[in-house]
This record gives sequence, structure tokens and C-alpha cells, in this order.
Amino acid sequence: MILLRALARLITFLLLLLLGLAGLTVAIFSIQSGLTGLSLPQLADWSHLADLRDTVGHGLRDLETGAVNWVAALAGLGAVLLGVLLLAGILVPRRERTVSLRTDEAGTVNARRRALGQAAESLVGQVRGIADANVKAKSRRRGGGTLRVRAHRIRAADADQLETTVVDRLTTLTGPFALNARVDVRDAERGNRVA
Amino acid sequence: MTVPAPDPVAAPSVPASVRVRLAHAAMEAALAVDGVVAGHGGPVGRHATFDRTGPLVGVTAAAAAPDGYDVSLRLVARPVPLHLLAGRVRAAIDRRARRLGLAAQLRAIDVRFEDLEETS
Repeated sequence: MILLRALARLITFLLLLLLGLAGLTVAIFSIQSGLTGLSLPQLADWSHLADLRDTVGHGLRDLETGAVNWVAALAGLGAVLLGVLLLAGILVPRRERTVSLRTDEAGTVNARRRALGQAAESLVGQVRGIADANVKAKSRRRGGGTLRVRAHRIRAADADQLETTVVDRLTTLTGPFALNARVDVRDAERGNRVA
Repeated sequence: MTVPAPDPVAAPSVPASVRVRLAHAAMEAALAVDGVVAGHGGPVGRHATFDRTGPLVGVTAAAAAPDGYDVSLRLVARPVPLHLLAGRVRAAIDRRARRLGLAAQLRAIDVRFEDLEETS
């Protein structure tokens, strides 16, 4: 989706640039009248519009006779698909970067996903037996979200018990912000910091 | 982006607007709460109230009907329970507004935690 958004912005910019240049060209070639010089007939002549009219005319006649040009059909289909993808890139809303805690007439309370992740890392880091932890917070469009916890345990600690303890420790964060905690406890590797 | 708040006391003696006074009061009250580290300017650093003392980063006050102002705070906090901290910040702003005679103009208080920071 990020790629589609970037592509949609780039194509929008390029199309606007082309539109501007086309408008400027037409404006310049409207300076003079007649068939030569800076006139619209001269611009049409230089742009080979007559040839283009003939080519399109042949294509339309072929279409009327029932002959299918598969290359043109596939190109058209591709253009339609590209259009749909670009529309999706523009119209599909971004994922919220904040997780909401409360919204009422007294105001809203929310937190950025990064801040929630940091808070969760701080809480998980206090659990005895956890060497280090990495937490990513994701928000849902309808509110709430998920905390994905990847924690490394020291070898003496029981993984299942640690998982339960981590989930318990996170309740001060997951409860108010309507977050689901998904905890993955792994063995600590050489170089992991021990709390 | 965190910037220290300008000192409204050092400003010239022209009285500030209610909007600016509310913004200053809200940020001062928030910064006095244990667990709040600083104001935050948001992703592009423009969440601020501008007046003659300079930008007060991390707070805006916007007109809200009838005759009031919504206050929006963006904060950097220490790693503490954020929902409790938000409650304390709101209560502190309410108290400060009452003390300054601005409670009648204070409407909604929005609090967003932008970042967390360990402080010694």
C-alpha cells in the first residue's frame, strides 16, 4: 500500500506537469491566427494530429468489423487495472499512527504507536528472566490494536511462565488502550542484554 | 522535536489573549505533573502556540463554541502508566485554569503521548 501511495503521488505530479506544459503550449500557439507561425493549425500539423486521426479511425473501423486486436485489448485491461490500483492508493485510508484511549466530550487521550511500544518494552524489561525485548504496536482502524512482543529469556527461565508474566505485566497498558498482547518468548542469544 | 517553553513572565506587559493564556496555563500545568518530560511539536514540529514570546511547543488552544477553547497537548513522558498520567494532566490543567479564572473558557482537553524518554 505504501508503494501504491508513492506511485499515485508520482503519477499525479507527472500528469499535472504534463497538463501544465500542454496548457502552456496551447496558450503560446494561440498567439497568432492563420495556418503558419504560432497558430493552432501549425501546432496540429507539427503534432501530426492528422496521422493520429487516421490511425484511430482505422482502429475503430477494425473494432466495428469484429476483429479483436489482442495487444490493444490487453493494454486496455492493464490500464484499467493500473487505474484501480492508483485509486486504491489514493482512497484507502492510512493506518492510524495513534492508539486511542478515550474519546468523550472532555477530550481525547491517545498515544503514538512508538510511545506505546516503548512503554511496553519498559514493562517487559522489568520481568525477571527476560534478557531483552522488542515490542511493536499496531493500531486497528476501529480502535485498539495489537502489541507484538518478542522477548529473549535467560536459559534458566520457563518460557510458558514468562509468557504469562509478560502478559500480566502488560495489562496496565493493554487494558486501557484495548490492545491485544501477542508474546513470543525465545532463548537469549549471545550478546543479548540481561536485565 | 522538543523545545523549552518560553518564559511568559519575561514578555512585555501587554496582556495576552485568553487563547494564549490558556495554552500557557495548560503546558505549565502539564509540565508540573510528575511523569511529563516536555512538550512535543508533532511530526513536523508545528504543534505549537505562537505569540510574542515565541512558539510554545506542544500545545494549541483552538476556539470552540460557545465562547471557549479546546486545548490540545502533545507530550513526551517518562515510561509510566500513560492512562493514569493523562488523567493527572487533565486534572492539573483543570485546577490551573480554575486558579487563573480561565475555567469558564476551558472546553475539551486532548492529550497525545508522542514519545517516551528515560530521565534520571
